Amino acid sequence: MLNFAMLVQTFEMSIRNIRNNRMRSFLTMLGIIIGVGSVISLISIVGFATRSMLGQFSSMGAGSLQVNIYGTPVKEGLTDNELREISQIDNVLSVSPLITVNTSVVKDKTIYKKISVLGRNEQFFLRNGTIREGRALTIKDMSGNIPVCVIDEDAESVLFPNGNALGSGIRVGGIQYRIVGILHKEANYADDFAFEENRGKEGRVFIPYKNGMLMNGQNTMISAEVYTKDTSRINETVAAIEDYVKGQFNGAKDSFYIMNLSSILNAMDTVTTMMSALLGGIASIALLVGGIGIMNMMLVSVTERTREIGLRKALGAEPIVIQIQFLLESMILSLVGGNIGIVIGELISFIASKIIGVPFTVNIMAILIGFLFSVAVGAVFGWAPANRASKLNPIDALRAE
Amino acid sequence: MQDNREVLLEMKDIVKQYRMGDEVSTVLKGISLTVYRGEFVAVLGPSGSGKSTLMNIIGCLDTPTSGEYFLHGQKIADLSESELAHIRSREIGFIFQSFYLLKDQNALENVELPMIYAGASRRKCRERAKEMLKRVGLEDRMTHMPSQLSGGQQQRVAIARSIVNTPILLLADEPTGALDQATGKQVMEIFHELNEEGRTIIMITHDANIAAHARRIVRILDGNLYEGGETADA
Ligand SMILES: Nc1ncnc2c1ncn2[C@@H]1O[C@H](COP(=O)(O)OP(=O)(O)OP(=O)(O)O)[C@@H](O)[C@H]1O
Ligand SMILES: [Mg+2]
Repeated sequence: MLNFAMLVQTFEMSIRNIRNNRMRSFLTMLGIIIGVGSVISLISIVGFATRSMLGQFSSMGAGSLQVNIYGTPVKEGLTDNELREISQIDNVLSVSPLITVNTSVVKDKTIYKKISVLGRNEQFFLRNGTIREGRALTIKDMSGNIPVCVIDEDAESVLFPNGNALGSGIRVGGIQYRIVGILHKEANYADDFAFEENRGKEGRVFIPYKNGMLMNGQNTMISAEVYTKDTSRINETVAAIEDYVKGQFNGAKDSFYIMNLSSILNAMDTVTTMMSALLGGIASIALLVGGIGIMNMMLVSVTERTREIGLRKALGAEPIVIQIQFLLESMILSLVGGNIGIVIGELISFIASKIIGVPFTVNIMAILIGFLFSVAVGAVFGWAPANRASKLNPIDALRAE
Repeated sequence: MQDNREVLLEMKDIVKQYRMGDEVSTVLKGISLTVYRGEFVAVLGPSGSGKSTLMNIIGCLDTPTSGEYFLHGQKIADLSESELAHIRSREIGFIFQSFYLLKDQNALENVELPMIYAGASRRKCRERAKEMLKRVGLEDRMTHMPSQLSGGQQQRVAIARSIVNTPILLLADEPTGALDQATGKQVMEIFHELNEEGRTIIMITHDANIAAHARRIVRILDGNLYEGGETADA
């Protein structure tokens, strides 16, 4: 019966056969290389793109809404009073205006265009702001003329590479500001969603929202975050806020928009899952074609080597040994191809991660899928030719031309 | 008669027919043959008379259309594919009329094949294969590919391969067909040695001189087998 020595030598014979047909073997593997390579790179790229998008949204955290006002000719935005009334709506915890201040930070005569300046109130820090050092902005800072600010760690490392940020001064909108706190790296904060190329790239400076409004010369607010108490009731809350804001804008429906982040995140999750499935499906077609390529090559090989098979059987090879020999050949081909495909796929993923701008991570799941797929392709598509070879009648096979 | 000797193979009324379209050609027309252990039988017959066909049936490579064939008292028709493979690798050594070597493996590897399929270790395969090649005078051609060997050398590789597993039954289809007289004689000496070791040999040949080496001659004519009488001890 089949024993280890026989298996080892059969394995060697398979390798030799693959080597003796270098060109053909390579072309056969190409299908698997492309298949596995595209499966891996597509899965990874979708993952990277998702992560990059989610990163921008989810910094706001679950359970928060963003009210964006487009305004009407007679009313530009929301007043302090209106924000207070929103904060009294059922299930609303608090409200924080979001002021994108159109100014840059200046320190030692250097202008830092890539640091964004945001106006916020004390509620923002109560909810999101983990302070690493110093203190948060409080309600006492909100009078509109107190020049204090909180910066995040990115801004800290850009502005004060040598440390000592706390208590130091920077110029914001031409006014000297004192840094009273440094936000923890892990802190959640909504971005201004300006999506301008460089905004916030080197960090953020938070000033009291009233100061920001003054700098911008605006007396109403066009964007605010609303924090809810019970996330599961978020849809009613959205409706209630909508009702209220619509009333304030005389029923002009398109004068504002309420962004519900949890529902966006959910929708996005569905979309990306579908996208991975779709792209994965397309890539599997490549793999399937590769598999058919292997089967084709193995069938040709069986036909070409009919006489060899007959001889092996005449010399005492059991059908199972012949089957293993051919199965090994197809599995080695697809495994080697699969591994090359994995390397190429990861290489493409690496380049893609750099382009998208997210840290590169190796997707173990994708590699596993690629690996298992290639083994399966080799086994499934190699089985029929191998079986056919093993069933050949020795004397007929020997006589074949 | 020789009833006290052990029967190695027994054929009863073996018929082999080939169907080609509507036509049926009967190549073997009811052959009965008994071969005892240790015999050296030569099969003589004109070209196309069915010698190779008979040999393939004896070697368990082909199956008869009708009739019974027993090897070692075992009914061959009852055996499974893998049992047949077992017999082919361990009990029978086959020298084919057209040698049949694997063209992408060298002489040594070709000789090793039956041992591999019998499950021997690599070291043992190597050792034995070298020994066999030496025995047929090819010690300096071990790593040659078949295409780098002459016809006679290829035939000797095939002979080395057929005896590498020390089979009980050696089937040789024109083993000296491609050899000159001197080499042919060497091969016959090997056969004699093997026969003396107790191996049963059935050999097909055209050459009466070669046939004379055998102790028993049978003739095939028109699909029938005739006992040709004993030859003198060579
Ligand atoms: N697969 C086959 N299909 C049809 N006819 C066949 C087949 N194999 C052999 N034959 C026929 O059987 C007959 C005997 O063939 P076989 O090979 O046994 O002859 P042989 O006695 O060995 O001849 P030679 O001395 O030339 O080798 C031939 O007429 C051949 O045409
Ligand atoms: Mg013949």
